[in-house]
Amino acid sequence: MAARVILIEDEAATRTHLAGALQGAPGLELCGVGGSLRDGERLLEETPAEVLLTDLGLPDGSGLELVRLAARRGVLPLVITVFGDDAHVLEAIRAGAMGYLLKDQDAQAVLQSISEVLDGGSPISPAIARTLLADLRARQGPEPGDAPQLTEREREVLRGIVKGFTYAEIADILELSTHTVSTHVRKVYGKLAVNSRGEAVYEALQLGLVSADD
Amino acid sequence: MQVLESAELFVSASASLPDDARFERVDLPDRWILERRRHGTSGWYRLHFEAPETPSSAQAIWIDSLYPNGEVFVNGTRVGSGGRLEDPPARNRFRPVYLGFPGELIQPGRNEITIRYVGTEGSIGLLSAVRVGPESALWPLHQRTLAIGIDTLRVGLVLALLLAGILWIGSLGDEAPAGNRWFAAGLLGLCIGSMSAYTADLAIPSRLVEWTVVCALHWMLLAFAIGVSRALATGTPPPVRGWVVAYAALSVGAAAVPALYLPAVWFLWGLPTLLVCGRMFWKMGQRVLAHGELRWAPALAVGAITLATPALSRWLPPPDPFVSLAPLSLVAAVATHLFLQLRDAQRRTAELNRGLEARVAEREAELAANYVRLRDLEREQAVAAERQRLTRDMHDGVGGHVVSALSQVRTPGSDPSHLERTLEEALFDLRLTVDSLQPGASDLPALLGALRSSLARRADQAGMQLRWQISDAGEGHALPPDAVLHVIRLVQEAVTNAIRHSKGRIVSVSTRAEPGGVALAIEDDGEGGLAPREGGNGLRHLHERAQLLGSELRTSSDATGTRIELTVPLTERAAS
Repeated sequence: MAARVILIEDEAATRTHLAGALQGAPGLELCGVGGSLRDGERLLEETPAEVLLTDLGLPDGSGLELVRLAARRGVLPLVITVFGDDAHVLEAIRAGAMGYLLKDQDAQAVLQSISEVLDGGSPISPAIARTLLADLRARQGPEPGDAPQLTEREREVLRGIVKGFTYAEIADILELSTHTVSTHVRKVYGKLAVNSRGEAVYEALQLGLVSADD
Repeated sequence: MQVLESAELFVSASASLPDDARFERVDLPDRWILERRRHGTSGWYRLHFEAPETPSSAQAIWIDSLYPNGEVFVNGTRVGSGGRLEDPPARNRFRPVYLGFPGELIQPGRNEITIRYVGTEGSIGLLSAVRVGPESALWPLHQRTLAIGIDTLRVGLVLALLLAGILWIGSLGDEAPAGNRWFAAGLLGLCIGSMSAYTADLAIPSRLVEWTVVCALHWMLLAFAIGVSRALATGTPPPVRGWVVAYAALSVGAAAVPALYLPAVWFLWGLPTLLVCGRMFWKMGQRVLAHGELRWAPALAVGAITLATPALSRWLPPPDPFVSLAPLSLVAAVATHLFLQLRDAQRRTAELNRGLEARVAEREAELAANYVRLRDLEREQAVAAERQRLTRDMHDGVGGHVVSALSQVRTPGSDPSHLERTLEEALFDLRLTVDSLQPGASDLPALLGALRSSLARRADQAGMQLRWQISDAGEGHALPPDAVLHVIRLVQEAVTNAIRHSKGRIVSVSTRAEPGGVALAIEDDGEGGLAPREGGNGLRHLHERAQLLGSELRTSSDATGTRIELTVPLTERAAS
């Protein structure tokens, strides 16, 4: 069965470009297209899908809302960004995004990124890896319980990515399989998704694990 | 009541009066000075008095000082003693002897009192005038003397003991020379050692008083000796300190031998004590009279009374409170003096400390202010440098491409694919700028890492492979903002040149650690011919950038390919 994709992008040209790339792609089905936060919420409510592609800066709100909503519904969220390394991408990853697309990527690269995510991989740029490492180092302060602890392997993988190596090259250097490297990256994503107490509480509230009256 | 001031003495250690005793006339009070003690330390006194009739009331004998001890007979009948007489005898220091007896022992006419005096080798004995009369007259006298002599002593000496103790503890600081402590320890031992002789066989209250007196005197000597040696030890050479220790040892050693005890006390302690006391009173007098420091006056007054005591006692009727109070007053005077001196020293030290603390605080504040100023300056400089870098970057990169794109759009019939490539270049440059702005982007491996995907994409489009061989070299070393820009541009231009002109299949970027920095190399497997191919222009840019980085470009180009290499210098400062 083809993976169903919802696309939310407010800028028409990019939307057209991405929709064009998705339409007719083997194994993918574009099941909804929208240009606003409201569109996205409605589509996520009404249309069953496997993947959400969303821009972050939407006219009526932040795409982060959609990322959170999608993550809770088991839809894989990917964000669309110009440079792939701005702070918003990191925020999106913390909110649960599993990857990102560059706005100027050609059709083939877009499809490749989506299929990577569907296969359990997670794209990550050197800049994001670098920010992650610096971020985690800064957080490993007085309350280590607060910050997600990365394993030594995960750290090594991130360091390789910072230097610009591909998964295959890192796998070579660390004597792992490419699949294992990609699993490590995905785990880092997972750890980041609940990386601060505040967000964890937010998540818990949203999931109904605790009630606000407590 | 009669006061008997003349007697006859026969020096003998015998416990009973021999028949052939040869008496000599003596006046009372009679002292057992060293000269007499050469012949013997004990003896018999004989005194006579007249009585008109046998009194019907109870009678008593009262002796202000029967020191150390003795027993008394009236007309051959024993009426009592001052305590234990066996060796060592109890010592009646500051304690008068009162002995009551029935009036029938007195006969009309001439009566005889016999006193068996028991002395010791080590102390000056004393028999003062003997009073005989009715109990009703002597008992109140006895009580009064006890009250003045003993109770006042008790209170005063405890006070003196306290003072002396404080002084002693105060003088045993960390900075006190070791000689002081040895001296102190020796004297303390002596003090404890001689206690038993003074306190044996005395009733408890008296024993307590005796003990207090002895302790106070020794404590006083102790504090005094420490003061002297301390004064000597301040800035004095070790031989003098050795002398102090030797002096202490000599004192203790001499005092351990009964025959030498008295001379030891006199010559080793008494004489220096007198000298130092004299100097002390002299200085106190100067303070009070010349400088008007009245707080020293009480001590001076007490000292003056002490010195005047022998003269005063001659005209005073017994009991003589001044004589018994003399040692106390000396103790009090000396202790007061030392205490005031110590307090003065402490006050001066405290003042000095406060002054120093204030100065330190002042310096600290100054340093902190300087630090803040320096930090602000550094921050301003960093911001200015970054601003300059960004401006230049925009100018070199995006600016040029946008101008080029604009002119293409304005040129009728220009090639849209050409325009597309120019815009791609512009985006690429913008991405480089964004990359270089990311936090932590100033370390070389991270900087290059951010470049890779863009470079790889270009190489891909041109059908070339980008080989990536970045080592850990330079990790954690922050490059200055300017260097960041130059490294990015240099690598970008070198790789672009290789893609455009080398006609090779592989372009590689590699780094390795080198002394003083990181060697960065860009090479291809093309056909070489670097200089003519570039027309000198592109290469000149690269040379310039290398120079701005504080390095030099090393190039080689032949038929097997072109290699450009330079050393990126690293500062010692680690990335924060």
